[in-house]
Amino acid sequence: MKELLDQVDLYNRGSKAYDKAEVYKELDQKNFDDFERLWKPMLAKRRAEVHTAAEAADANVQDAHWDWVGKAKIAASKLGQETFAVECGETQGLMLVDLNGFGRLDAQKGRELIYVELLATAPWNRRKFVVSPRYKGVGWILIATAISLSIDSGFHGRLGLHSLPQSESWYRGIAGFTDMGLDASKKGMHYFELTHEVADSFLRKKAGAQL
Amino acid sequence: MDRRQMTLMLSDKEMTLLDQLAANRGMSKTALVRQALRLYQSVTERLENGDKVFVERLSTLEKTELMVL
Repeated sequence: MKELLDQVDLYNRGSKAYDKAEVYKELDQKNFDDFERLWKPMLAKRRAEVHTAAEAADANVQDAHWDWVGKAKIAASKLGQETFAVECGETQGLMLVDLNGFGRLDAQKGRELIYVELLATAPWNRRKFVVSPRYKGVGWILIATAISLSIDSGFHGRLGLHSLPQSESWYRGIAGFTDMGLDASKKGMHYFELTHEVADSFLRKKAGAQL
Repeated sequence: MDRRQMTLMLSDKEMTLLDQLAANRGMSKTALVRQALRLYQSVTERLENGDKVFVERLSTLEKTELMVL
Protein backbone atom coordinates (compact mmCIF):
# COMPACT_ATOMS: atom_id res chain seq x y z
CA MET A 1 0.00 0.00 0.00
CA LYS A 2 1.24 3.49 -0.86
CA GLU A 3 2.79 5.23 2.15
CA LEU A 4 3.78 8.88 2.63
CA LEU A 5 7.42 8.91 3.76
CA ASP A 6 8.37 12.56 3.79
CA GLN A 7 7.48 16.07 2.74
CA VAL A 8 10.30 17.92 1.02
CA ASP A 9 11.01 21.21 -0.74
CA LEU A 10 11.54 20.97 -4.48
CA TYR A 11 13.23 23.86 -6.28
CA ASN A 12 11.11 25.29 -9.07
CA ARG A 13 13.50 26.65 -11.70
CA GLY A 14 10.76 28.82 -13.23
CA SER A 15 9.55 30.64 -10.12
CA LYS A 16 12.94 30.32 -8.39
CA ALA A 17 11.08 29.26 -5.23
CA TYR A 18 10.60 25.99 -3.40
CA ASP A 19 7.37 24.03 -3.88
CA LYS A 20 6.10 21.46 -1.40
CA ALA A 21 6.54 17.88 -2.61
CA GLU A 22 5.92 14.46 -1.14
CA VAL A 23 7.98 11.27 -1.18
CA TYR A 24 5.98 8.04 -1.27
CA LYS A 25 6.89 4.40 -0.90
CA GLU A 26 5.09 2.08 -3.33
CA LEU A 27 3.57 3.46 -6.52
CA ASP A 28 -0.17 3.58 -7.04
CA GLN A 29 -2.55 4.16 -9.94
CA LYS A 30 -1.92 7.91 -9.90
CA ASN A 31 1.78 7.29 -10.61
CA PHE A 32 0.95 4.74 -13.30
CA ASP A 33 -1.45 7.21 -14.94
CA ASP A 34 1.10 10.04 -14.79
CA PHE A 35 3.70 7.78 -16.35
CA GLU A 36 1.42 6.52 -19.12
CA ARG A 37 -0.25 9.84 -19.93
CA LEU A 38 2.53 12.36 -19.27
CA TRP A 39 5.96 10.73 -19.22
CA LYS A 40 5.64 8.06 -21.85
CA PRO A 41 4.44 10.22 -24.79
CA MET A 42 7.23 12.75 -24.18
CA LEU A 43 9.87 10.02 -23.90
CA ALA A 44 8.62 8.18 -26.99
CA LYS A 45 8.49 11.35 -29.08
CA ARG A 46 12.01 12.44 -28.09
CA ARG A 47 13.41 8.93 -28.55
CA ALA A 48 11.99 8.81 -32.08
CA GLU A 49 13.92 11.96 -32.92
CA VAL A 50 17.33 10.43 -32.14
CA HIS A 51 18.94 7.46 -33.84
CA THR A 52 22.02 6.33 -31.94
CA ALA A 53 22.76 5.48 -28.31
CA ALA A 54 25.08 8.48 -28.16
CA GLU A 55 22.35 10.78 -29.42
CA ALA A 56 19.90 9.25 -26.91
CA ALA A 57 22.38 9.90 -24.11
CA ASP A 58 22.88 13.46 -25.29
CA ALA A 59 19.10 13.97 -25.36
CA ASN A 60 18.73 12.48 -21.86
CA VAL A 61 16.30 9.85 -23.13
CA GLN A 62 18.10 6.52 -22.72
CA ASP A 63 15.42 5.27 -20.32
CA ALA A 64 12.55 5.63 -22.81
CA HIS A 65 11.94 1.86 -22.83
CA TRP A 66 11.66 1.41 -19.04
CA ASP A 67 8.35 -0.19 -18.12
CA TRP A 68 7.64 1.45 -14.78
CA VAL A 69 4.10 0.11 -14.48
CA GLY A 70 5.09 -3.51 -15.07
CA LYS A 71 8.16 -3.29 -12.84
CA ALA A 72 6.23 -1.65 -9.99
CA LYS A 73 3.49 -4.28 -10.09
CA ILE A 74 6.06 -7.08 -9.83
CA ALA A 75 7.92 -5.23 -7.05
CA ALA A 76 4.73 -4.96 -4.98
CA SER A 77 4.75 -8.74 -4.45
CA LYS A 78 8.44 -8.99 -3.50
CA LEU A 79 9.95 -8.35 -0.08
CA GLY A 80 13.25 -7.58 -1.77
CA GLN A 81 12.03 -4.74 -3.96
CA GLU A 82 10.56 -1.32 -3.19
CA THR A 83 9.33 1.50 -5.41
CA PHE A 84 9.28 5.21 -4.59
CA ALA A 85 7.75 8.32 -6.12
CA VAL A 86 8.29 12.06 -5.71
CA GLU A 87 5.10 14.00 -6.30
CA CYS A 88 4.55 17.71 -6.70
CA GLY A 89 1.19 17.75 -8.41
CA GLU A 90 2.32 15.29 -11.06
CA THR A 91 4.81 12.48 -10.50
CA GLN A 92 8.23 14.17 -10.65
CA GLY A 93 10.46 11.15 -10.12
CA LEU A 94 10.41 7.37 -9.77
CA MET A 95 12.78 4.81 -8.28
CA LEU A 96 12.93 1.02 -8.02
CA VAL A 97 15.40 -0.55 -5.57
CA ASP A 98 16.47 -4.08 -4.66
CA LEU A 99 17.27 -4.84 -1.03
CA ASN A 100 19.26 -7.97 -1.83
CA GLY A 101 22.40 -6.28 -3.14
CA PHE A 102 25.96 -6.93 -1.96
CA GLY A 103 28.99 -4.65 -2.06
CA ARG A 104 31.89 -5.00 -4.50
CA LEU A 105 34.20 -2.25 -3.28
CA ASP A 106 37.04 -3.65 -1.16
CA ALA A 107 35.91 -1.53 1.79
CA GLN A 108 32.44 -3.11 1.76
CA LYS A 109 32.86 -6.26 -0.29
CA GLY A 110 30.10 -8.77 0.47
CA ARG A 111 28.26 -6.32 2.71
CA GLU A 112 24.54 -5.84 2.20
CA LEU A 113 23.52 -2.78 0.24
CA ILE A 114 20.54 -1.28 -1.52
CA TYR A 115 20.88 -1.71 -5.29
CA VAL A 116 19.14 1.07 -7.22
CA GLU A 117 17.71 -0.70 -10.26
CA LEU A 118 15.93 2.22 -11.88
CA LEU A 119 15.81 5.92 -11.12
CA ALA A 120 14.35 8.63 -13.34
CA THR A 121 13.18 12.19 -13.09
CA ALA A 122 10.19 13.29 -15.16
CA PRO A 123 11.10 14.26 -18.72
CA TRP A 124 10.09 17.90 -18.14
CA ASN A 125 12.72 18.18 -15.38
CA ARG A 126 15.63 17.10 -17.58
CA ARG A 127 18.30 19.35 -18.97
CA LYS A 128 18.97 18.68 -22.67
CA PHE A 129 15.49 17.16 -22.92
CA VAL A 130 13.49 20.37 -22.55
CA VAL A 131 14.66 23.95 -22.99
CA SER A 132 13.48 25.03 -19.54
CA PRO A 133 13.48 22.16 -17.02
CA ARG A 134 10.84 22.58 -14.31
CA TYR A 135 12.19 21.13 -11.06
CA LYS A 136 15.74 20.66 -9.76
CA GLY A 137 16.76 18.09 -7.16
CA VAL A 138 14.47 15.14 -7.82
CA GLY A 139 17.38 12.72 -8.29
CA TRP A 140 18.96 14.03 -5.13
CA ILE A 141 15.78 13.40 -3.14
CA LEU A 142 15.46 9.86 -4.50
CA ILE A 143 19.07 8.96 -3.73
CA ALA A 144 18.63 10.39 -0.22
CA THR A 145 15.53 8.18 0.09
CA ALA A 146 17.53 5.13 -0.97
CA ILE A 147 20.22 5.98 1.59
CA SER A 148 17.57 6.30 4.31
CA LEU A 149 16.16 2.91 3.33
CA SER A 150 19.67 1.47 3.46
CA ILE A 151 20.14 2.84 6.99
CA ASP A 152 16.71 1.60 8.11
CA SER A 153 17.54 -1.85 6.70
CA GLY A 154 20.76 -2.03 8.70
CA PHE A 155 23.01 -1.44 5.66
CA HIS A 156 24.48 1.86 6.98
CA GLY A 157 23.64 3.88 3.85
CA ARG A 158 25.51 1.66 1.38
CA LEU A 159 24.18 1.82 -2.22
CA GLY A 160 25.08 0.28 -5.57
CA LEU A 161 23.84 0.96 -9.08
CA HIS A 162 24.60 0.77 -12.77
CA SER A 163 24.34 4.13 -14.46
CA LEU A 164 23.23 5.03 -17.93
CA PRO A 165 25.96 7.07 -19.66
CA GLN A 166 23.73 10.16 -19.50
CA SER A 167 23.86 10.09 -15.67
CA GLU A 168 27.44 8.94 -14.99
CA SER A 169 28.88 12.39 -14.36
CA TRP A 170 26.18 13.12 -11.77
CA TYR A 171 26.79 9.95 -9.78
CA ARG A 172 30.57 10.26 -10.02
CA GLY A 173 31.10 13.97 -9.67
CA ILE A 174 28.21 15.34 -7.68
CA ALA A 175 26.78 12.49 -5.63
CA GLY A 176 30.21 11.06 -4.74
CA PHE A 177 29.74 7.45 -5.84
CA THR A 178 32.86 5.41 -6.57
CA ASP A 179 33.01 4.49 -10.27
CA MET A 180 34.11 0.84 -10.47
CA GLY A 181 34.28 0.92 -14.26
CA LEU A 182 32.54 -0.96 -17.01
CA ASP A 183 30.64 -4.05 -15.90
CA ALA A 184 30.95 -6.82 -18.47
CA SER A 185 27.61 -8.26 -17.42
CA LYS A 186 25.83 -4.94 -18.07
CA LYS A 187 26.77 -3.89 -21.57
CA GLY A 188 27.98 -0.34 -21.77
CA MET A 189 27.23 0.51 -18.16
CA HIS A 190 29.51 1.51 -15.34
CA TYR A 191 28.95 0.13 -11.85
CA PHE A 192 28.94 2.63 -8.99
CA GLU A 193 28.93 2.24 -5.23
CA LEU A 194 28.34 4.57 -2.33
CA THR A 195 30.08 3.89 0.96
CA HIS A 196 28.46 4.62 4.28
CA GLU A 197 30.88 7.51 4.88
CA VAL A 198 29.91 9.22 1.62
CA ALA A 199 26.25 8.43 2.29
CA ASP A 200 26.52 10.31 5.59
CA SER A 201 27.96 13.38 3.91
CA PHE A 202 25.40 13.13 1.10
CA LEU A 203 22.57 13.36 3.60
CA ARG A 204 24.17 16.36 5.28
CA LYS A 205 24.31 18.36 2.07
CA LYS A 206 21.37 20.55 1.30
CA ALA A 207 18.99 19.04 -1.22
CA GLY A 208 18.42 21.15 -4.29
CA ALA A 209 21.76 22.87 -4.12
CA GLN A 210 23.46 19.89 -5.75
CA LEU A 211 21.60 19.35 -9.02
CA MET B 1 4.73 0.92 7.50
CA ASP B 2 2.17 -1.49 8.95
CA ARG B 3 3.94 -3.85 11.32
CA ARG B 4 2.75 -6.87 13.23
CA GLN B 5 4.45 -8.43 16.18
CA MET B 6 5.29 -12.07 16.74
CA THR B 7 7.24 -13.92 19.37
CA LEU B 8 10.00 -16.09 17.96
CA MET B 9 11.29 -18.97 20.07
CA LEU B 10 14.87 -19.92 19.18
CA SER B 11 17.14 -22.58 20.56
CA ASP B 12 20.40 -21.53 22.21
CA LYS B 13 22.24 -22.62 19.11
CA GLU B 14 20.00 -20.62 16.81
CA MET B 15 20.20 -17.53 19.03
CA THR B 16 23.99 -17.80 19.22
CA LEU B 17 24.14 -17.95 15.44
CA LEU B 18 21.77 -15.00 15.11
CA ASP B 19 23.91 -13.00 17.55
CA GLN B 20 27.11 -13.89 15.66
CA LEU B 21 25.70 -13.14 12.22
CA ALA B 22 24.21 -9.85 13.34
CA ALA B 23 27.51 -8.81 14.94
CA ASN B 24 29.52 -9.90 11.91
CA ARG B 25 27.24 -8.08 9.46
CA GLY B 26 26.93 -4.96 11.62
CA MET B 27 23.16 -5.33 11.66
CA SER B 28 20.52 -5.63 14.33
CA LYS B 29 18.97 -9.07 14.82
CA THR B 30 15.66 -7.75 13.49
CA ALA B 31 17.32 -6.38 10.34
CA LEU B 32 19.13 -9.67 9.83
CA VAL B 33 15.95 -11.73 10.10
CA ARG B 34 14.20 -9.40 7.63
CA GLN B 35 17.11 -9.69 5.21
CA ALA B 36 17.05 -13.48 5.53
CA LEU B 37 13.35 -13.49 4.69
CA ARG B 38 13.89 -11.33 1.60
CA LEU B 39 16.72 -13.54 0.37
CA TYR B 40 14.72 -16.69 1.02
CA GLN B 41 11.82 -15.33 -1.02
CA SER B 42 14.19 -14.30 -3.83
CA VAL B 43 15.83 -17.73 -3.99
CA THR B 44 12.61 -19.77 -3.76
CA GLU B 45 10.90 -17.64 -6.42
CA ARG B 46 13.77 -18.22 -8.81
CA LEU B 47 13.67 -21.95 -8.20
CA GLU B 48 9.89 -22.02 -8.63
CA ASN B 49 10.31 -20.18 -11.93
CA GLY B 50 12.61 -22.94 -13.15
CA ASP B 51 15.91 -21.15 -12.55
CA LYS B 52 18.85 -22.89 -10.91
CA VAL B 53 20.85 -21.28 -8.11
CA PHE B 54 24.50 -22.26 -7.79
CA VAL B 55 27.30 -21.67 -5.32
CA GLU B 56 30.69 -21.57 -7.05
CA ARG B 57 34.00 -22.32 -5.32
CA LEU B 58 36.36 -19.72 -6.75
CA SER B 59 39.52 -21.80 -6.34
CA THR B 60 38.26 -24.76 -8.40
CA LEU B 61 35.24 -23.23 -10.20
CA GLU B 62 33.29 -26.18 -8.84
CA LYS B 63 29.59 -25.41 -8.77
CA THR B 64 27.09 -26.77 -6.27
CA GLU B 65 23.44 -26.43 -7.00
CA LEU B 66 21.39 -24.90 -4.20
CA MET B 67 18.29 -26.90 -3.39
CA VAL B 68 15.46 -25.55 -1.26
CA LEU B 69 13.13 -28.22 0.00
